[in-house]
Amino acid sequence: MSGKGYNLQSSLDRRCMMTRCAWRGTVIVVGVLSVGLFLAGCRLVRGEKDQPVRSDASEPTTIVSQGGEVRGHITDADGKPLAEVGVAVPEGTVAIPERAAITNEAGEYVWPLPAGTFTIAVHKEGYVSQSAKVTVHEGETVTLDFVLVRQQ
Amino acid sequence: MRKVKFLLLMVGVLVLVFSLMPATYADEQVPTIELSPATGGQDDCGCAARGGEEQLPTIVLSSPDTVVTNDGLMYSAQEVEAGLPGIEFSSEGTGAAPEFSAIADDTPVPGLPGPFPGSVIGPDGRTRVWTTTTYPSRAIAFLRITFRGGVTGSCTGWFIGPCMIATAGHCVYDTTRGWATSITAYPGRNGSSTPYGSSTAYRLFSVTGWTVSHSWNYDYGAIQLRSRLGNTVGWFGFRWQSSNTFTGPYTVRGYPADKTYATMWTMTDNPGIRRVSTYHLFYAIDTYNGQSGSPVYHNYSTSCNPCGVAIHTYGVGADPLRQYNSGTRIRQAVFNNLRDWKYLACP
Repeated sequence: MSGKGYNLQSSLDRRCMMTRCAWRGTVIVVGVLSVGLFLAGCRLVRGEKDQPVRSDASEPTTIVSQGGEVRGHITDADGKPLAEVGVAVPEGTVAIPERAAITNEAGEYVWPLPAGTFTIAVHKEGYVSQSAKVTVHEGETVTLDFVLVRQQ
Repeated sequence: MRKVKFLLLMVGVLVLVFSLMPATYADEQVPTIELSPATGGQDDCGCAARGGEEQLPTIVLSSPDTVVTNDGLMYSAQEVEAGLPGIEFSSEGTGAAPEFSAIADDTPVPGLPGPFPGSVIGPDGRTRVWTTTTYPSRAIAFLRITFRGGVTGSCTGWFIGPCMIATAGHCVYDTTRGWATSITAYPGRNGSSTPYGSSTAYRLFSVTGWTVSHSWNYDYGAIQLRSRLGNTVGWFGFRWQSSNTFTGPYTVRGYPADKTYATMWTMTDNPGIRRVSTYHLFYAIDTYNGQSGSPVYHNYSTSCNPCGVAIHTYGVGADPLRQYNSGTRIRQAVFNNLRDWKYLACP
């Protein structure tokens, strides 16, 4: 009986020690995982950064800003809407990416532009290209229509 | 009591770790995915078997090169595996095309009348590409793009894989209108002739540096097409280099809006690259609206010819010195993203 009691106590002691060990192990594991996660995060962030080739201090970092829009209607001399007219912004006080606008079947175009002054140019095969200056203010829509004349 | 102490200690450590972790870059809360590394085998479309939406979520890092898509996915860019060169190879495709009446590329054709300086630097040096069914011209696509609010535009894109087209970030994401609502790509388009038909976009890609910060340093993106036209028209290789030395001739080829609608034009200059910065390559090659997204490329090697080094984005107006046109340089992070996009499984 006493032997059984001794064995039971011994078993409880062992179990208790095992529990302590488990807790210590958990703490160690969590600690290591935490430090590892932190270091991994730092490493990944470093990895994402670009190769430091040259300072770009002189370059603006943001070109495009929120602004207004220019929209218009392009027709021929008879008032017929012209589709697939290329609309461009070759010059401006703000640099614009070199996407082009295209008129739809109704001869309409829309171009979101930042606040500034721009040259809007329109091009269509068989017609004389035209351009006009326009000033866009924040939140405003400027209407700019064109009537294209056939090339002689 | 000890258990409580241990628990408190663990919580403290976790809080400390998460407070020190990098902050999320994007303002918006979106689902995140992580793509698996470039170790997958090739599937039947030539795309490596890579991850997709079904991948496990990951931490959104603070890099402006963090990828975002038009369907709300966001994932971190992959690092280049050590030892791998920064080159993705080109492919000519099968080249199967209908018969086409070809005119010599060098035939001089004047542009439409009207001098508009802008990004045509001095005399217009661009020549029309009459034979758009030869490689690599057929791997360049006219892009017709629609944004919300009736904004319709055009850009240029270039195949980098069976169903993936590289282009400018502003061609897939407008800073005021958001993601394009539809994009149709016409490879090798020659005016009204579309020798390879067309394909609509399945998914659009860009990075937070463009979609959130609107920085021209990160103005690049890609279009995943619904079809695998790249297997027919081929695709460009592309590469990155840390060196700022770019010698020899470079070409920009695309679809300018000051010419006959949807016709392809090209210009090569030697030395092609006149100035270099971390994020851009500057050149005196003439461009115009509509050429955004065009490849800036050269012959680098037998396996990377043509080989893209930048994506054309801006005219002279964006150059701080007002001298040259420019393209988004394919840096290591750009290369990583393009490569990841290239190997995504086709729809």
